[in-house]
Amino acid sequence: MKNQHSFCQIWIFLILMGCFISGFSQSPVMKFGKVGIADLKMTKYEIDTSAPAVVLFDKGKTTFTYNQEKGFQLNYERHVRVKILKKSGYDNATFKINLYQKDDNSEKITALKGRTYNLVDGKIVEDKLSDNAVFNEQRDKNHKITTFTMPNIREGSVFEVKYEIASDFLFNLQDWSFQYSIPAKWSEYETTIPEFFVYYQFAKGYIPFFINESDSKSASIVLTYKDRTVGRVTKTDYYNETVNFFNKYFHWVCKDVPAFIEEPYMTASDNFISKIEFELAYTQFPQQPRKLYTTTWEGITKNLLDDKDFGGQLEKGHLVKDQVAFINATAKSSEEKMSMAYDYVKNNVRWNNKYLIYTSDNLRTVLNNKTGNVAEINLLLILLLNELGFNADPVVLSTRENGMLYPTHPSLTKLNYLICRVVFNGNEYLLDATDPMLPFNMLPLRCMNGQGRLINKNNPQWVDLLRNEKYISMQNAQVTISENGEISCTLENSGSGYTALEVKSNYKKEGKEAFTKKRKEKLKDWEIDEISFESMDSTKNSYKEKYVMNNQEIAIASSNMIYLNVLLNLGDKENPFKLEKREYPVDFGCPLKDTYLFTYQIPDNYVVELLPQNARVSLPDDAGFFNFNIITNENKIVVTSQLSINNHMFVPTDYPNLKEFFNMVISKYAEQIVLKKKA
Amino acid sequence: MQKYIFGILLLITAAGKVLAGDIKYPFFSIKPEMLAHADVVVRLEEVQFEILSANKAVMKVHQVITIINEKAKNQASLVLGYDRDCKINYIKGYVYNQFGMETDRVKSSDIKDRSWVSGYSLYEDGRCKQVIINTLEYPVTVEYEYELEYSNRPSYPQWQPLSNYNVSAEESSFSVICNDKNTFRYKEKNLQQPVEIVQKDKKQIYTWKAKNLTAQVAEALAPEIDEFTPTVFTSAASISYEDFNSNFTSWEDLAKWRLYLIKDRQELPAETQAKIKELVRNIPEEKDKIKAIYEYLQSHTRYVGIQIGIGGWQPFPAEYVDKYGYGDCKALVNYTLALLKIVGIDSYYTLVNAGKYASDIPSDFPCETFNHIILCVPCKKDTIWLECTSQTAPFGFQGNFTDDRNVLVVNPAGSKLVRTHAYSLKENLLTRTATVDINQSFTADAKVYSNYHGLKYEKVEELLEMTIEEQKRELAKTIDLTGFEIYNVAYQKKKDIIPWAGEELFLHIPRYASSSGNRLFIPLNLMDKQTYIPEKLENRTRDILFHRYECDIDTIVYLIPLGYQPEHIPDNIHLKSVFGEYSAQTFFKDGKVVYIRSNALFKGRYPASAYNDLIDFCKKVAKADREKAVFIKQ
Repeated sequence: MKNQHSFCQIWIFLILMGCFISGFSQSPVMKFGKVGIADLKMTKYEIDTSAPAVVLFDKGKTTFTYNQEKGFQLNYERHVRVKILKKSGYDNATFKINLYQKDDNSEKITALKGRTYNLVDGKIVEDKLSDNAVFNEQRDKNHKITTFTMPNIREGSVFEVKYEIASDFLFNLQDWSFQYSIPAKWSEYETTIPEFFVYYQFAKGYIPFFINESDSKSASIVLTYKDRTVGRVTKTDYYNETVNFFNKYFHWVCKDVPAFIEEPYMTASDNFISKIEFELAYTQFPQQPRKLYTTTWEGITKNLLDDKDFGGQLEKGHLVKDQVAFINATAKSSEEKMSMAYDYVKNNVRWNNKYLIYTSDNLRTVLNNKTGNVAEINLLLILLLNELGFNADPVVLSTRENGMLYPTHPSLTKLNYLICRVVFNGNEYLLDATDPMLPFNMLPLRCMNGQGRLINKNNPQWVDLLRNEKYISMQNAQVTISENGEISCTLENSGSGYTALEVKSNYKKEGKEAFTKKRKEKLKDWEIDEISFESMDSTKNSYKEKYVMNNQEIAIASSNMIYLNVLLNLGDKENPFKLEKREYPVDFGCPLKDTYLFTYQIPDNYVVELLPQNARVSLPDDAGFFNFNIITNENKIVVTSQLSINNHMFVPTDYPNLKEFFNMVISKYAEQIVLKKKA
Repeated sequence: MQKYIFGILLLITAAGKVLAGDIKYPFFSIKPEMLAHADVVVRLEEVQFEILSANKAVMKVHQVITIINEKAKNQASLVLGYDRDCKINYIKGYVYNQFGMETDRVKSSDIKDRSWVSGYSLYEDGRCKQVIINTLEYPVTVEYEYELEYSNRPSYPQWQPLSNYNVSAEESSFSVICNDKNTFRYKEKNLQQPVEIVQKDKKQIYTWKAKNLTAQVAEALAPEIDEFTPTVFTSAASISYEDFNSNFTSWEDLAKWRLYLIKDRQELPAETQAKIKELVRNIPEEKDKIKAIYEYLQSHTRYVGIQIGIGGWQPFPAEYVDKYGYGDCKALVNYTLALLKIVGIDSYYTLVNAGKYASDIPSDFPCETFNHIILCVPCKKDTIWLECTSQTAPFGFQGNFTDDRNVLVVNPAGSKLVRTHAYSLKENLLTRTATVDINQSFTADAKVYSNYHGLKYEKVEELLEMTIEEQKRELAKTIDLTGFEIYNVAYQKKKDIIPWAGEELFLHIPRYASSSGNRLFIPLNLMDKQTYIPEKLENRTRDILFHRYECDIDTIVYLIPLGYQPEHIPDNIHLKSVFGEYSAQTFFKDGKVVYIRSNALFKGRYPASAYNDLIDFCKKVAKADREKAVFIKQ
């Protein structure tokens, strides 16, 4: 009997794929051990004279190899050469290479070599990276780290490192970043991929390619097949077969790349760093059907729904039958059922801070252990809601820290979070049960990242994650000024939306005592007679803090004048945007609204000598406005100040406006009221 | 060991989830006074340390901890380090709910094995076992039993039932079991009751007990908690390691052990020797020779933490550092010592407990409480202390990391504790002069010159190594002004025992002066406002500690736009207290406001009763620093 040939089973590569040589004259000489004297003599990098170090070149290459036992393997090679210019660049000479292993599959580092070059008395002195200076740390069961640092690094050193990583994880073709924390003269990546593997590629960032080319070349390989005949005598026959196929070759180079520097109010740096990423779309071996991994969002949907750790979990209704019975018996309306289900999951399963779209434990274990990852918690919620008769579906997304999800680029690996969507009576509700402080139908800020994908076989669609929520805060003060400049004040701070969520989460995390202490620290100029908090423990989406306090320090009282900050120094004092220019967008997460309402009672024998002027400032395109109003009536002064940012995102060209806008706001907050004694 | 754990876990599995049974450590049995300010209540802690031989010991720990609230949730988990010289024999764990019913037991799959490399190291060979307890409901009680087996370890455990704030302890005990051959030493501090000693089967059992220790609350500017909570220090009385056998009772003995560890580790290749000799050939002064060699060290090496081998206590040989150009503190100090030896300069390996606010070592109880190594070079006039891990530190500058404390100087001819340099008020000086030109649109252009002396140098130390762009970015974040631009920044420095750095800043500050109507308000303190006010306390219990002297002197001249006359110029102010002295003088002359401010803080220890005076002093300073001059247009 002849076994069926299986390409993946028993065959041997006899001839490896031919290699491609690209002959670009501009490319630096990248031969290990050949370091130019000019690089050693270089004392600064002309394009960025402030650079503490510069990548002279960094070249990566991924090819496929075949191994009798393992089948296909990825082989990744990297060769990097760096010039050290200043002591602050020394850290670049330390490498931590993370390697993953799972079951019998692993990533292994091989052929590691390194060399440092120094110019001593005009001569090049070389130092090798020795084997005993390379450490292999078994981090835990699945993670290994190879660490080393280059020898004899000084100001002026050049070093180079070369290594290969053989990987069994075909779905994880190494990404390549063309941008570093230091500038790079040359960053290059090439991949040679047999036609059996199709990866979807995604380039991002702001740096244009200097070379971006691809090629397709036929290659032929001779395979040795092994056939076994099983009968009374087992007999093995070998024979050769030539297989013709194409290798797809891709080649990218970025030249003179500036250093990547993080900026405040930025989402994941991963969104902006110049990079090329891969996602295994499908494999297709000869005489075999195409095996899809991810190509389309429809494919991803199917893939997820078929997975036992995703869709499979939604078929386990029996796990929650007690809760279903209880809710059905207790709730008076459908709305109440929905919120009872939400509260049940929120209060009975604690999030272990793991971001995953698959369950790691089955839901029964999750219910027993009372902890779970994001997927476990929200799939449990979906299961419960469906059992109660609602239409609940998972929505998968990428969190802010994880980077942007682009609808045009289907990607399974980019997804790291899962929430629940319910449609009821024509209304859409988005629920996340990972945070007990979250009110019903509000998402945590980490989810505010574009759109999420609804995972439903019949009705796949995009769901906007940014809803109507804002940061909303209000300070309301009733102030009495005495003749000697003493101020007594009743201050009410309140907030809703994300402001309330943040404040209440802190309150819960820190406990009342520590929270109160921090609040007092913020108001350290004041003598506080009374503090009270409202709605801090409830999931109502608002809170209130009330302070009764007085102060002799804030007003400056001279013989017949009193000078006083218009917001009693309680307004924001610093512009969050201090840098001159901005390379990447500003992202607040969601819109915000800050209001101050201060009412002053001035001493009877004083008159208002001077008030700050009213102001109204807007950002272009209604992206934000600031409205500052002050009126006086007999011995009362009323200050109303409102700051609204309506857009959550500002591109770098908006930055000067935004910065100036905040400068105006902050300086308005710093203005003075002047009172004068009646003659 | 693995097998043993497996055995225990089998047993646990066999017992299954029989969750009924005894009520253990219920929450309601905690007395109210033990709950005050407590996030964690130690219900029971029994630590038994048995010295088996000069280089073997076993420690058994049994602890029961109630976690009161989520804030302390991490303390429910257990992390035990182990390495070549310390192995973990077993770990058992149980979880109880607030009613004292057992809800869970630690299974083998709950014990995770991980590497344990501290943040400052490239590599360490230490590993750890972790038990993470996840729970939703508080209070929760965890009970652990584990056993550690030590070899070759001269440092013995320290008992400190309250080593953290917001923790109370109902019952804690510590025993050390030894025999006539293998004794130990101890020192008691702040104890409720002294040791009890029992003789049993040729063994002596020393036991310390503490009961009902209420939770301590952190207070600002107070001494470290170690100073006032019960503590027992212990140490080996003798040491035996390979061919090294010695008493271990005096600082001298401890030093001998370190000498043994660095013995024969200063060999350097002939080439390096020749280079160093050449380097100092034409330098007549010894101090300058030392400086030249220190600078050679700084330009040829860097700090890389690698802890392997005997508890990370033995430095790599000098040759290793010479070859690779890096090492940790031990290795770099040993290397520098070797370099100085080439030219006949004696220097000494020196043990220190480093840190800005580190507690002093117990000078009357020799024991291993050090965390860092520096080099001591005695000179004709004074002693030079070298920090060998920094590529940029000024020669001989200790900084707040190792200043003003007792250190153990390891000298083959006799080791002893020596006190490092304490910086004086005059040495820690920041002087600043500035001219601030305010134009008709109330924008200020400021030229600011600042001089950072002594420990103040550390404020700009990192900036000195940055590129101009980085300096601007950093200053943009730290300068206490709104909406300004840095036109220029430049630094100069003199790296010496008392270092100096000069800073030149040109700032453009739109709206520095605020105006309303025809009035102009000018904040007088340009960029050195003191805003710190200690938290108000009902009852301050502990001394107030100022670790170091410091003094800032600012002279700032404001040029006022034409046509403005002063309406309000603040009165001169002079504040004096035991904590410091402050003065601010402002006068207006010829279209200029001159503002002179001096603010000095005095090192010292002040009684808790002075706390309200301190608050009062800080408030007055903060108010004075907010003063504005008011001008009115004529």
